Amino acid sequence: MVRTILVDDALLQYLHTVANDNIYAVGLILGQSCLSKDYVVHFAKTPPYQSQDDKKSQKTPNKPNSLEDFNEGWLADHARQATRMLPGGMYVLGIFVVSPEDVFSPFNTKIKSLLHSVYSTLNDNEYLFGSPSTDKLIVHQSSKTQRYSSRSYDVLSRNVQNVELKTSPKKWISIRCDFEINELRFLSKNQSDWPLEKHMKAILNDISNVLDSATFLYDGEYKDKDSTLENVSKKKGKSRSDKNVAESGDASKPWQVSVLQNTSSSAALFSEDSVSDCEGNFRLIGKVVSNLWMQPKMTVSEISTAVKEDILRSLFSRLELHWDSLIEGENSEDISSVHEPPRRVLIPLPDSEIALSDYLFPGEGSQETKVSLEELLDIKIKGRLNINDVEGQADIEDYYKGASVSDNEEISLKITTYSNYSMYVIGLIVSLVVLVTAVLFKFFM
Amino acid sequence: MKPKINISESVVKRLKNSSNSCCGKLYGIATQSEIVVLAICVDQNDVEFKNCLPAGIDFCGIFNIADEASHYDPEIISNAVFIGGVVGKNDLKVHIEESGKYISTLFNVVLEQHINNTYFYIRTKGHIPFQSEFTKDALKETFETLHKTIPSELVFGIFKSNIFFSANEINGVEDNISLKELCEDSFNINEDFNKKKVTNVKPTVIEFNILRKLTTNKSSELIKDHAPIGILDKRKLIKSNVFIHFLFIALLGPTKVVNTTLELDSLAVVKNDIKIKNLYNIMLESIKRLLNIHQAKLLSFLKNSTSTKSLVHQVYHYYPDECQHFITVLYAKDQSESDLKASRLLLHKHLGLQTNSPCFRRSNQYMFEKNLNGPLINPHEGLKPTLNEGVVALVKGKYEYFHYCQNKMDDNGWGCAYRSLQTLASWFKLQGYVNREVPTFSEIQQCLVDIKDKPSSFVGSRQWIGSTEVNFVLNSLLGIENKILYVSSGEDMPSKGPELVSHFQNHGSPVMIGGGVLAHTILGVDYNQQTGEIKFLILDPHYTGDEDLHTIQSKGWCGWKNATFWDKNSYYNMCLPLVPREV
Repeated sequence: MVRTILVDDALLQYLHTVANDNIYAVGLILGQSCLSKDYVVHFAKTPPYQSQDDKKSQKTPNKPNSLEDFNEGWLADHARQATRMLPGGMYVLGIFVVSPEDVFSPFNTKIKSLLHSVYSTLNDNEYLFGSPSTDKLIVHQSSKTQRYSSRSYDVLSRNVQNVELKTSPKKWISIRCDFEINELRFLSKNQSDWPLEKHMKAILNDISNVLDSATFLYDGEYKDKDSTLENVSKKKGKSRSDKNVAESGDASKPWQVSVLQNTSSSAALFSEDSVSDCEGNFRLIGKVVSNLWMQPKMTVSEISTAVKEDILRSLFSRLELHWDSLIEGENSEDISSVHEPPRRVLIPLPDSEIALSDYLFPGEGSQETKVSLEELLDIKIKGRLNINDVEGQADIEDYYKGASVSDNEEISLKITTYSNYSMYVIGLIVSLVVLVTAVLFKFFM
Repeated sequence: MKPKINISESVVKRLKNSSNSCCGKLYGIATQSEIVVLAICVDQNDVEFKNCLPAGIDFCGIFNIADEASHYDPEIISNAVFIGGVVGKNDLKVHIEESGKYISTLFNVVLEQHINNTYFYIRTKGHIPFQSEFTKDALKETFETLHKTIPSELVFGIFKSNIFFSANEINGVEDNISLKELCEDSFNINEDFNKKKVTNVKPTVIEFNILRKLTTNKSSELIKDHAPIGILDKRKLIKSNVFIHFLFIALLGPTKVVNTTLELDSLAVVKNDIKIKNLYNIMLESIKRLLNIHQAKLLSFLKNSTSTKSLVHQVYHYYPDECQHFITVLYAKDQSESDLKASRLLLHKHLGLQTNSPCFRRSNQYMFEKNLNGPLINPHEGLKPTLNEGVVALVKGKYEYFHYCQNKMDDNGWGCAYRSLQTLASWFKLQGYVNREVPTFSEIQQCLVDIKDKPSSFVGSRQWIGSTEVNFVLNSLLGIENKILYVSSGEDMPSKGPELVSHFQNHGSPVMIGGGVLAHTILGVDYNQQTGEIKFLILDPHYTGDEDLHTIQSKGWCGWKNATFWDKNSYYNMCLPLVPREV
């Protein structure tokens, strides 16, 4: 069966515009694959290459004059950053190329090298879930003839195949999941010197293990893993209208996913039971809100995997953004501190029900989102941008103050007592007594 | 109207047979219309006892068994039952509180079969991670937090089904049906259910898995509604003064924390017509009771952390025959049976049980799952009683039925005494007296070679053994002393009636009997002193079929036999294993 890329007119129009404005251009194909069909949700032209020096000197980047002018690392980094913005189940499926010459006969080696670079960067981190498939799409739009053609290229087998490109309307099933995190790690003596990044990665591993053995419910119901929500949604529609017309007449209401941890699986257990010395603790608390859009033909087990990937991808992305933003020393500082990674906000794609994610640091707002939309997705928004702040910002004050009233009351009480001067004196006296006794003991025994 | 009083037969028996004066608390299931007294605790002041009973059984009154009929002023507790009696009088007076006084009332004795036909047990299994600072206050606080968080977090899934119970809803099945209907509808939930319908003596247990809900639909109060943030709390103290820092470490010690996983495996008892939407709360209650026991164990571990190395405690459920209800106990992983002797004795005392045979060793634990491939356990249960009207004395506790052709070994014609020996050994294993598996044929043969009873060619042979060899092997491999009884003819077997009655009453272990070329196991006798008539409950090791209880019982492979069962032309030796008197 020939792979088919499904696009809509607006996306074709976009390629056309890019080819009109540029002689040479590359960009990303974003979307979802299901049963040898690729459902494209967005094309995003890669911004012109700027080296660090160029950025500093605010030099306008050069227009590329041949395919050779495209930088592999730059494109791969674009793919990585775009992947962070994608909901689970969606990936960078491949790249589009605009050039005057034919690139498929023979298959252009530069394009191969660009794809290899994208593939290896996306697979660099296990929690980005960047590239599940090795078969990448290439859509070529001729800037001379305005014709398009497409192929697939397997970065492992190096196999090139023909791919059809069709326009077709797409239907999506929308999925919602509010995943709560409340992970506490006691730090042993050697762990307390770990950089923040290491603590966070340990928690990511824990969450990943838990999700691997979890049970997923859809609107509270257990679904067979090979079934699709398309089939059941009809039944559901009926029972919903039977039961409660007023409440849920809206068929497009997302499926609410519940994640149940099997408490007897090994992921739920500590690897060892211990009483140990502790030099502090690290807690990650808050919720990750996931919104996914899946093809109706997707099976329940594929959807569950996508939900899992979305939670981890989103959590990993924001944590990575956070520790990258820390200046030297902050990552391994010695004092108690509250870390607030950027939070997820959803931005609807123009002319689509699908929304992509952006991550906002405290204090950032729609202005910053506009910038990243333009840079990473080539979407220019005029006027007000609606961002959906699904998770909400923490009131950090709660936690600074809360440190003394939280469940670790004991701990903070001790911390405060240490700063109490009279305790120093008592401690000093007691220690002297101990010292003297020890000396006497040593000499007279 | 005052509720009807029903008292479990086992409670009545223990109170009537009490040889000392004692007083304590009554536990049972109380509703508007009736109070069913199911359990006793012979200790008026114990407050923890309730936690080892299934949820649903609560304090419902007090009892006092006095040395002689004297005046006793029971504490007035509203709606409580008060049972009074006199040692050796075999008579109980039951009262119920009414407007500040105990009023004498009638009561019914209820049998185990009735209880287990009316009530079902809910077993809830899972684990819960436990992290806390290792101080008394912090542990208590962490448990308090657990009690608060579990109602919103836990979801119970019926074992091997797609039915899930959460705090507000039940998914996978209509929520206005009763538990009984649920069990009848979903054949998969309890495969035995329909088969068991006829005589349901043993408790019906429905198993649930514990799951933790990691997602919300609404914001819960305990987790603040916001994107994830990380809070790093480091206890690097006063950096400027290293001396002071070390001084405090030296004085107070570094902060200790505990990381462990609590095993959850709790029981609740409910009327089988309960609406399933009411089950969630009772399951939660059963978990809370278990958490209370865990808390007590961790606190005592904290107090003397040297006596036991393991902070991990394992859950054991017991269903002692003399109690006819479940008792849940936690034992530390590394505690040996002898370490636990004192706590077992206390349990016997609390429950008013004899202290001459163990009920609460690990191997006494109740077997929920039947081992489908292994030998049957106690195949004599459910047999019709004889009409001999004598004293019935039976094997106590559990044994496994070993017979010909098990574990793919064809011992037809020569292995019967080996199999009978294995049945005897299984009894000692299951009762917790010995800590070894049932010996195999080659282990038995090797043992007889080792003690120089047989030549070395005996190992691997198909030579049969008799009661003398059974005696040797039990003695050498299990350290069991045996009494040997001899009759010169099968006709004389009835004369051993009194001795056998006494053996089963005092020791309760199965007896191996060999005569001619046949070996059997005697599981009990029914001896009528007036008529001298005797019936023997025989377990026949010559059975070659599958582990099919129906065939075994109906074809008499396990059943009551007349004295004529024994061949008058052959002599018989019986090997009566003697049992240590301990708990």
